[in-house]
Amino acid sequence: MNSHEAVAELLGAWALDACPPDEELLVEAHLDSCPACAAEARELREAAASIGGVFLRAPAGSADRLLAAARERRPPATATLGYARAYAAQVAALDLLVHDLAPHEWRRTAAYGELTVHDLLAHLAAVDGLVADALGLPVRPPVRPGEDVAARTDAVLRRERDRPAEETRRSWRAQADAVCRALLTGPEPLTVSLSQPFSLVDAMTARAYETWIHGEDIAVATGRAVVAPLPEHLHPMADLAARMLPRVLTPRPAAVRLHLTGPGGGTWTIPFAPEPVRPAAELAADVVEFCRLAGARRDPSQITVEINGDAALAREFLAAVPTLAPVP
Amino acid sequence: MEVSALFQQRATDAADDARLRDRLVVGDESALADLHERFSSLVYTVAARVTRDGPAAEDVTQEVFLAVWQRPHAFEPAKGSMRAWLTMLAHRRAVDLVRREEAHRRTCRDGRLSAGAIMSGDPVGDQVSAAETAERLAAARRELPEHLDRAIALAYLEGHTYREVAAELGLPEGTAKSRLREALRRLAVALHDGETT
Repeated sequence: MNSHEAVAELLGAWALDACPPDEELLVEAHLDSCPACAAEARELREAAASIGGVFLRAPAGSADRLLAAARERRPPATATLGYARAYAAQVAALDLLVHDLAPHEWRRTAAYGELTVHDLLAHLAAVDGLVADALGLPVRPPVRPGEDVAARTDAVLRRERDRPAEETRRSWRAQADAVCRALLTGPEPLTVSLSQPFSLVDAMTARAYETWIHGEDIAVATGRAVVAPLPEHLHPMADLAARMLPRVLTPRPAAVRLHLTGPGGGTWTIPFAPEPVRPAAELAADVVEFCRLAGARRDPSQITVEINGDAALAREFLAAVPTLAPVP
Repeated sequence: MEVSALFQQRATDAADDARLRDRLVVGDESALADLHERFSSLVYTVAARVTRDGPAAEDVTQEVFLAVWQRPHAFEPAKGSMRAWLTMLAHRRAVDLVRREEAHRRTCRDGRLSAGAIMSGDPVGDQVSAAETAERLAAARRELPEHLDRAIALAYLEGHTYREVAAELGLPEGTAKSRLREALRRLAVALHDGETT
């Protein structure tokens, strides 16, 4: 009997949790590489899930007890204003990703050929600190007048490289949560200087964007699963990228129409210069992949794009998209 | 339900499961509340059937949902439904608990599946889809030959491995494995038939 047949025989027992542990592992390893067995396993598991029936209601109060215990085990995304929920969500997702990393995983190179996972979290804390400072929150080390993203990152990296990664994680999360909470108290409309001046709304979207992109850097570096933002969080990021793109295009009387497909997508007209002209090219691409391209995590040749109209203009536009990065 | 409508429904369910998982990943507390709302009766019933102990079943139920909150990436929508995954987690934890404590006392020793409430606990009210599924299963179980029903009762409700099932029933291990697979296949077919009529 070959291994496929041996595993197929076990599928019923596996679906009922009636295999000894060693055979359970054998089955699960096989299911990853055998679509036929995986399909049968899904069917049998669904049938097994119904055997118990549903006859009893969980005791009263169990939902409240669960939520209280859940907050102790893993802090949820911090409550904040609507425009900052994407940031709060990406912070929670990244915290979930890094909270149990092993020491050697913190030391893995994750971005730009030199920054480790630990460095990337310190970099995120550094730039978040510029937002926190603008909101009047205490920031360590204090932000010096006129300090830009690069100088701020250098200052924070010097400090954080001397601290355990877990302390960096806690400081980063505490500062992010403080920013989210500070927004709830209704700050005056203000401009936040990151790589360039942003409205507070755009600054928070930019922070969500960079937190997501570096989260994916860390996931890839540590072999963890990559999960794209929720559509309602992705859309403002795509919109921010679309609005910023004219800054990196060679100015001339031209425009393209950009269709970003999938949940969270939309359609934008991107002008190369302020004078409005009719778009000479249309491009359609997946919204998640396009956002990765704008974050310089994809090469224009790597993503699937449907082009209609002036192909040369479309290619010029695509080549410029990654120069938008780094997201501030 | 027509077959095409069934596949459409399954695709919708899979998309709902994936979105729920993605909301848990980003720390959305309301997603955990939604998950509990949808599946707590199912998880609690599975735990209660195996443990036969209310407080133990509640502990198992809470730990299942906490595990999902702490490790939502472990659920892979491509590999099956959220419902089946939660049931698996609940069953495994309940069986582990019973095996650890060895305090298992069966009131139903003949191995036939008992369809009634098994212990103190609030019966679920008129939850239509759950009731329909339970009714389909009850009908399907009535159609199962006794030797197949007994095998899955020993494995699933009493937490025995297929080797223990074989020993209990005086069968070769290969025959026990075949019976468990065949019993589930028949239940799966009956569930599909119920969904497509």
